[in-house]
Amino acid sequence: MSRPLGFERICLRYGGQAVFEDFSLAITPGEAVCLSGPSGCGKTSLLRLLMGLETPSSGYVNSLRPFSAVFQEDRLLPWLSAPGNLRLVTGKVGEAIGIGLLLELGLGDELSKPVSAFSGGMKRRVALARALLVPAPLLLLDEPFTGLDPDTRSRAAALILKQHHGTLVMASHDQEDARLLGARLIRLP
Amino acid sequence: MNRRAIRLLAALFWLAVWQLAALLVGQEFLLASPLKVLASLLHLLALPGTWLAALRSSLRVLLGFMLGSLFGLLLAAGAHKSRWARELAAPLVAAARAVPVASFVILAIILVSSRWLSTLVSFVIGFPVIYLAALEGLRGRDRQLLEMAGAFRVPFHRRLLYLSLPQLAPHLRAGAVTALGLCWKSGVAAEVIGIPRGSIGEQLYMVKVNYYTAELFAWTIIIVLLSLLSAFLLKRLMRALFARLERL
Repeated sequence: MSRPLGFERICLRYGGQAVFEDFSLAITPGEAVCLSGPSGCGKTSLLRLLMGLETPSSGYVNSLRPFSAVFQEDRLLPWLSAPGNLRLVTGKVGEAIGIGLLLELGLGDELSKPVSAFSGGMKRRVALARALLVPAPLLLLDEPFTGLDPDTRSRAAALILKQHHGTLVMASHDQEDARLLGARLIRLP
Repeated sequence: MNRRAIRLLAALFWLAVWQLAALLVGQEFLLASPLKVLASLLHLLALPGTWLAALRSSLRVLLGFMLGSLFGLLLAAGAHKSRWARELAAPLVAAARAVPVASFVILAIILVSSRWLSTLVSFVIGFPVIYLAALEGLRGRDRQLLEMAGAFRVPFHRRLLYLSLPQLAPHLRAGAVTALGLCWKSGVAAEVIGIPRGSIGEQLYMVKVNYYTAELFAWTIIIVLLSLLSAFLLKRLMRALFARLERL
């Protein structure tokens, strides 16, 4: 029998200190889940476990492949423009769709500038456009709306709901983000 | 006073010191004056043999530099990927950096024709510099960006073009310019020992045995100019190449 998407009795330690002990969470395919809690509670670690970038010391992680993601950091190539950063992940094939996403996120006037000249909120929007450009059954978002004003945040949330129809797991300290995406809120201790 | 004027004055000062020293020594074969060297340089530049020698030596040194760069890059890529390759390369690189050029030339002259000696020496002197620069660049790449590229399943060729080469570029530029300068110095030294016909090294050897000090200085100026010109062209070429790659 296949395991459900999520975590099954996982233990995770950093330098001898336990972040999770016997933690379990089942996620229904197609569901949106928001992992919420204070800084350092392990939200990002759970996303990294789902990405396969970390391994629990015990327990099981069942994730979906392929996935797309917005990382905690923007992880953009600063010497490239916003379309250049999108081209890295899709090649020239997805260029037109990528530019469409950038336009919807209000970056239409900034297409030729290198992202090193962008503000934090603009970089966040490029990272979000990159994640939405790559079709995947699982979308992982780590604080995706950091640095965005309320209007842009609403617009970005609407774009996520329009573009992504699979499972969504988000980490956020702000419960409003869960409401915007209609996500089930999981409070981490 | 601006920086350029200060530099010009500094150069004029040292030329004056040189001229004064030549006057004090009073013997052209021991220390030629700057004016005598200039006259000798102009005379050399009027001779077709000078241009031919410069062309032959340049081609040999640059060929050695290019082959050494290619080898250094491949070796660095292998060493970055595999600890075994790194350990295997370590003694080779250490030996190439430590063995004196003269010892290596004397050994190499038994193995290869004197015509290709400067190419071989440039190769041996150049590859460790490129190897170390490339390895440092590969190790210094942003791990978060590499992780992101892995998560998005970015294919190898796009990782190389968009992610790795722009991060390697500053290391490779600095390494290549240093390696090229060393290749010129060691390549010409190898020619002086091997004395291939029609080369700069042969010309230097001739002026040395005949005590033509003014010509020795003039040939030295020609070598420095060739080295500077090739470094300038290399920098332009690399800048254009990396800019082109980033636009792909």
